[in-house]
Amino acid sequence: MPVQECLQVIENVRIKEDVFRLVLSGQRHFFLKCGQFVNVKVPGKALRRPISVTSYTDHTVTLTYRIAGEGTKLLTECTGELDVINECGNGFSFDLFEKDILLIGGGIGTAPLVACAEEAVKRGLKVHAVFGFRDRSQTLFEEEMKKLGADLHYVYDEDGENTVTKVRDLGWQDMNFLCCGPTVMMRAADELMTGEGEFSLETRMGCGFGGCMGCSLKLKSGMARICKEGPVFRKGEILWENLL
Amino acid sequence: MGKLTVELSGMTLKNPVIPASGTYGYGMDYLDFYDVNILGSFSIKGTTLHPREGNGLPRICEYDQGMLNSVGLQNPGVHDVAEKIFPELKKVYHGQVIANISGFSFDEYVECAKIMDREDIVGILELNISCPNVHGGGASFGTDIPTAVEVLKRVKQAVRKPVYVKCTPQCPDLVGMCRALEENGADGLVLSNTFLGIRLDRRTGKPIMKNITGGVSGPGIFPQALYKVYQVYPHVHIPIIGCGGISTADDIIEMMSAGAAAVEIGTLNLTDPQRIPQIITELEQLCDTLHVESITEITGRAHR
Repeated sequence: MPVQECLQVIENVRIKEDVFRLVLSGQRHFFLKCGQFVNVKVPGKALRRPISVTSYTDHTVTLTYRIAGEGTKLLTECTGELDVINECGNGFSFDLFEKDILLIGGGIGTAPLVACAEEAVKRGLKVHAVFGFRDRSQTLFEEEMKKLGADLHYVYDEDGENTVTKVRDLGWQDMNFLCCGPTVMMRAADELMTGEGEFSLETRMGCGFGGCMGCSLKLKSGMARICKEGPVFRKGEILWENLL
Repeated sequence: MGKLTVELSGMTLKNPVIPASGTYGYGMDYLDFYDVNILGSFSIKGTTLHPREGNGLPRICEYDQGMLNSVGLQNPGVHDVAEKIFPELKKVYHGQVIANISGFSFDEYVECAKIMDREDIVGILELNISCPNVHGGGASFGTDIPTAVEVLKRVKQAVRKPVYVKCTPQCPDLVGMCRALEENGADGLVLSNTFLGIRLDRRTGKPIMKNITGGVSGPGIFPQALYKVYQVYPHVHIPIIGCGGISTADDIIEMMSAGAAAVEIGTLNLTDPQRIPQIITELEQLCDTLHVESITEITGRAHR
């Protein structure tokens, strides 16, 4: 359930050339789920920036964001308090997984999958993951995923590799999975995978809590707001041509 | 009666604050933030006779002082609104709403209006002849006076509830339009809908939104929206709901001073969903500062 609140910036640091880690804390007990997002007010910008949750505790939430434009650039300078709408969106469901979970991620889309890996470990699941990046300098979450004991494979565009092809080469296409990354990658995953899974989508949003229908997408089952009924949707539901 | 109470064609509002159509869905999404019963009323998502999927993504972009949208009247159709949404809404909202209705033909407006007219929860019908994001309907009805008058006359003949017309600021003769609407039975005016605009991707030079153009809203349009109300007020005798870029209690006082009997607030709901309850409190304090017993005294004072 979305909550508008002011959170304290504990950390807002560069972790890669154009990627930052933002840690926020509050007094209230958070009720976050992995796959949800935080809609952050950036001073000087009219609209909030929806950013996926990389990790959370009862009172802190960690976001990982890439500088994609002016808003996220301004966000890198933020200290003190930030006005956010917390606990936005539906989040991933874990009812698909019994023993193993496969996480398929690309670029900054790997961020919400780290929270999934944490949740999976809590649930006693063995984590398998394929994360793709443009080049080695972009690699994210190596330590976090190592700590969680994940069976993680990195692939890089610079090596002519492809995340989804790697999943196939590993023989993991029949596993149940969670996926987040560039739309073309997710579409390829949707085509390849025979297991059940969920995808996390993104788009420009007006409000982030369902008020404006600015992010509504036509699914096979009808219209859905990415911010409210999503951002996570089941495999087989998404009409990818509506996102490209 | 509190000092913020206003009346619109027989509908009593406990304050003049009305979230604008298209920024408030059917009210339900704001229950997470506050009790929507504190509002004067709210204008529901623009509703058409048949369900509409709206425009493709992206539908949203921004500028420093606000945003552009090209949602394109996505809605489940008036039958679903009346049969499924209103019963749910009545469980949590005890006031009346303003029913924003739109169409692509005279008949569609009339059929949609007739269904809304039967609903107890609807206090006022807001005839939307100003949506900038649909083709062959919306604003194309709102820029031509004879067409707008025809829509209004046909709807008025078919309904009993008050009919307000939401005008487009794109209308080249807005004063003439508003006078014609009053002469032909409009019970009130909503001035105005969004301004037409565009944003281009800085890298590619191409339009950001799939629909290419969209409606510009937010604090950046406030002076222009204010001027529309200021311009029209001396020429009509029916209530005007002022709309466009309002984001503070001071803005409401200013909009009412220009001639508005009440106000609609749009973009602010999206950017700062908890702000409206604070604004209502501040508005009451402003009345004390201005030494007015009733906020209705503010309406049109710029012209006195």
